[in-house]
Formats: sequence, structure tokens, C-alpha cells
Amino acid sequence: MTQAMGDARLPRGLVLATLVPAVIGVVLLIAFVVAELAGSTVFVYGPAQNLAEAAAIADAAAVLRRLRAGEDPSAMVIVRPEVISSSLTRVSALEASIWGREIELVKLLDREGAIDAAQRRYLACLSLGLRADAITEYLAPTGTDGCNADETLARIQARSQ
Amino acid sequence: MSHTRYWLLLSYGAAVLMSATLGYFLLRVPIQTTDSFTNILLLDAPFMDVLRTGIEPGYLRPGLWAQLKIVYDLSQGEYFYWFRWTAVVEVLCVLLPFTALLRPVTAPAALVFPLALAVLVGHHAFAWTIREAFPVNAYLTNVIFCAVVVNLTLGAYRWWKDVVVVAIVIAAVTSLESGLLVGGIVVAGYLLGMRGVSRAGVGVVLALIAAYFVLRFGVLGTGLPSLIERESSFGFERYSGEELSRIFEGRVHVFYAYNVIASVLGTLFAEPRDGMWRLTRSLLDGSPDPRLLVGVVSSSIATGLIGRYVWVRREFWRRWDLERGDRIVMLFVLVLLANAGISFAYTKDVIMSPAGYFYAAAFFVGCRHYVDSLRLEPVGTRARRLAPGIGTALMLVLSMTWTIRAVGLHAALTQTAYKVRQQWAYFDAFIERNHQPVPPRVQALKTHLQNDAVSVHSGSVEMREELTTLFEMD
Repeated sequence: MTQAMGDARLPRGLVLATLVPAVIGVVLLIAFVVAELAGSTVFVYGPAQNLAEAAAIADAAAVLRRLRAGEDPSAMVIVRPEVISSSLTRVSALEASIWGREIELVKLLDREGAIDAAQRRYLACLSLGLRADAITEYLAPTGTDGCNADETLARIQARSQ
Repeated sequence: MSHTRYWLLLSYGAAVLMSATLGYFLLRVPIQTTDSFTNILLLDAPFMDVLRTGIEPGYLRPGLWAQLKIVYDLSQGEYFYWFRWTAVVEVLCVLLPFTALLRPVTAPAALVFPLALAVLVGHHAFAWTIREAFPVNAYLTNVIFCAVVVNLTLGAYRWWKDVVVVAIVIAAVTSLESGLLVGGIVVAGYLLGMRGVSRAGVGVVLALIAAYFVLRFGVLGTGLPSLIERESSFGFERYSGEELSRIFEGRVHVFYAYNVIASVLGTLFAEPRDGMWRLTRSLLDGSPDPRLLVGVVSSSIATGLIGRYVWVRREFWRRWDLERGDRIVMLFVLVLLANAGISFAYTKDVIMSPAGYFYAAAFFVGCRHYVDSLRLEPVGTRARRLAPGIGTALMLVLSMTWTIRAVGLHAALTQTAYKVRQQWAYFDAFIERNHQPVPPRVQALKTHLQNDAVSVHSGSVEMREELTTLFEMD
């Protein structure tokens, strides 16, 4: 039996069946590495282009990095249409964080000193319009008197036209 | 170059390539907040004080702390590079001895070897040896100890092997409870006819194991962790320590027996996981989880090939006419049972990582034997004529499913990297919630590691969800 096995070649189909999936797996892994090093987003969600995009997708690590690198959370910047919505492409990072609906991120911005008193009222009004109740409660625990949420939302959307 | 050498070098190349791809993904993962941060804080103390940290009720792990302290002192503050590169080197230290153990020197062996590598790293018991760290993962180190020791025992006798094996056993048993398996491998190996270590060496190892029990339960009185200390799974649910204590009051042996059986079944069939019947539950819910299905299919076929090997070789086993492959498979069975036995109090996939290592080795033996059988001319009965076709289909399913699991581990590492970075971003909030003043040293370490995670070694982003539907990312 041993001699017979020694003489017999491995069936080609068997070799292909065993190796092809493994080779495809290795090729995919190498492609991932090459794509990442080349900055391609074939395999991953595109990294945030600015602080507002990071806030919108609730990427807290990117938010913290960019904040500490000196990016202004109040500055109006362009965000890609796929990040928040195609009708909302010009926002500040603070506004974007409300659309991200991640209260911990809003708290992080607050802790880093990015939200002053005036912005707090404004953002609470925006969160009221977006029905992000937990954020509204955090930013305005005593209520949102004088807030016109529809007008706030309309103003931000008009900015993107 | 001889064919033998050619196939062996090719196999070592595959192991290095696998280590390199895993290494690339491992270096994307920052040092963790949980476990790692607090552990690093403790490492600033003198060496002996650090060792004493590893001796507490329920645990005797000074060796684990020695490992951490050594890397910590070598790092000189460059924590990310030293601890993360340690993980990378450790993966290489698992895969190279794996290659040495299996010695793929023929074409069928070299054909099956990459698949065995995929079984090793794609097995769920291996995943959490590299997906988390404390900041060195003691379970991974334990697998290395097993890998090195089995190679030493299988080879020819050399006096220095006795010394090395004894040193490794001391390091292993003082690092983790499952480190006892390393000593068990030496003893079991000797009983199976492996003579790399002398009888005297085996005797010393046995004495060390006995001394461990005396030290743990007699001198130090550390005993075992109680049920209440850890949450664990039973059936379809996960329970807190308090719930487990209540449920199994007066009949804790039922829970222990469940853990042992669940550990064995989980290693062989990928169900249950961490003691929980997740796939079964998803099937009962009417929405089978494809990721778990891939796990069960791949593991069941692989286990089937090991079972086939045992069946085919049963007469040789009865006559004690053992080959190297027989000894590897027998050792797997013994390690599986012992590893499951050690997990009686608490079942978790990663604890079964030594059994997972030998599972992959036993799979290689079984699969190579099966592939060899397909090389015979398909003559005779209808079943014999169909065998090559069935074999090809089987190998295709095996290769596909295990490749998915092995690639999935890389994808899971990207998820881990992303999650750890998010945890660091929110770590200040976590500290604030404790309402405790933060000493300057703690603050400095926090700033250092947080800065490493979110700024210096940043950049990892989430994989596209549609690409990960078959990968176990959680």
C-alpha cells in the first residue's frame, strides 16, 4: 500500500480544492494590507476627513485625536454626502455630533471644553429637533425654553444648499 | 534540493507568512484599557512585590506577573512597541514549533499543512489568545510552552532537554492553572513512548506537579475561585456569579460536569461556545447564525477526519504499534480531556487553547492520512470509485470554511483595534465615574497609553459590514 501511495500522484482536483480557497484567503489578506497602505477604502469604511465627519459617525478616537491636534469643533466644514445625508454637507463638528446621536461623544466634546454656554443652548435645541432626547436632557436638564427646533434645523439645512 | 527539504521549507514559509499577516493586524491593536492598564500600573513595583501580586485567594500566578514584569522593564516606557511586538513574536513562536511538530516533508503533507495552519489560528480557542492581552496574553504563552515541550519530548533524548522542560513546566504551572497541562504533556508523552525527556526528567516534572498542589492548597491556601466570582454560561443563557451560586446550590457538581462536557464538545464541534449553545439557540429562534454555522461545519468535518484516523488505526493502537502521527492524535485526546477537566469550574473557549493547538495537529495527521488514501487508484467497489470525488468535495468545504475562519480572525482583530481605540477615547469618563482622585502616576500612564491609542498608533477603521457577515467579529 505504501509503495502504491508513493507512486500515485495527488488528484489535481483534490489539490485545487484544498489550495484554491486558502490561496484566495491569503491574496485577500495581502490585498487588504496593500489597500490600507495605499489609502484605499475598498475593505473599510473611509476614515473621517475632518472633525465633523468623525463626530457624525461617532468615531470617538478620531474626534479626540483631531480635537487635541487643534481642529476647531465650531468651524463649518464640508462633510461628504454619505456621512450624514446628501442634503446636509456643511456643518460644524458640534452639530454633526448631535446627528451622530451618541451621547457619550457629546459628553466627550463637553469634557474637552468644546461646548460653551451659548453652544449648549443651540445644540440642545438642535437635539430637540432631531429627537435625540438623551442628548437634549444632558445639554439642557432644566428645559429648552425659547427653542425653535424647526427653524434651527432649517437654518442648518439651508447652509448646505 | 531534496523534495523532503523543499516541502518542509515551503511549509515553514507558510507558517511565517501566516505569522506576518497576523502580526500586521496585531500591531493595529493598541494596549487595552481593561486588564492591561491596571496591570501595567502594578508593574512599577520591585520584582518580588510584583510576583506577590500573582498570589491571591483562588489564584497562584506569579509566573504570569514575572512575564509581564520582564517585558515592562525591557520596554523602558515604550509600552506599545514592546507589548504588541511580544504578541507578534509569540504568534511566530506558536506557528514555528507547530511546523516542526508536524514535519510536512511529502507532497500530501505539504498540501494539508496550510489547512492545518488555518485550523490552528481559525479555531475559536485560539482567537482570544491574541484578541486580548493583559498586556501579555498568558494563554498564548501557555500554548507556546505546550508547543515547545511536545517537540522536545517527541525528539531524541538530550540531557539539556530535561533542564529546559523542567524550567518550562515551572514557568507554566506558576502562570496559569492550565499550565499544569504542560507537565501533563511531558508525562503523557513518556507513557506514549516519547523519549525526548529522560525518566528522571519526567520524575522531576511529576514532583513539580505534586509540589504545585501542596503549595497551592496546603502552604499558601489559595484554593479555587468560588462560583460567585465569575459569570458563566449554562445552556442558552449567561449567568452572574450570584445567579450560578443560587441555581447550583447543593449540586455544584452538575455545573462542573456541564463545564467539562461543554469544553470537550466546544473544542470538537464549535458548539457550545464559552459554554453557551449559541448556534442551537439561533436555530430555535428561526434565524441560524451563518458565522456559527461555518464554525460547526468546519469543526465537525475536521473532527470527523480525526475520528476516521482513530478508526483506521485502531488495530495498530491495540498492538501498541505507534507511529509519530498516532502519538500526536493520542496526545490530543489526553490534552483535550485534561484541559476540559481543568476547566471544570469555569468554561471559556480560550482556556481550551492548548487543546485547540493539539486539535489542529491531530487534524493534520487525520487529514494527511485521508488525502493519502485518495491517492490510491479508484478501483473496486462503487464506493471506492466515488471516493476521489467525495474527497475533493470534502476538502473544498474544509478549505473554504477554515479559510473563512482564519481570515475572519484577521478581520476580528481590526474590530478589536477599533473598539479598543473607542474605549481609550472614553476612558476619562470612566475614570470620572469612579469619583476618586487620580494620582499623578496613574494620570501620566493614562495620558501615555491614551495618546498611543488615539494619536500615535491611530488609523484603524472599521471593516465594511457587508464583508464580515461570515466572520466572528464579536
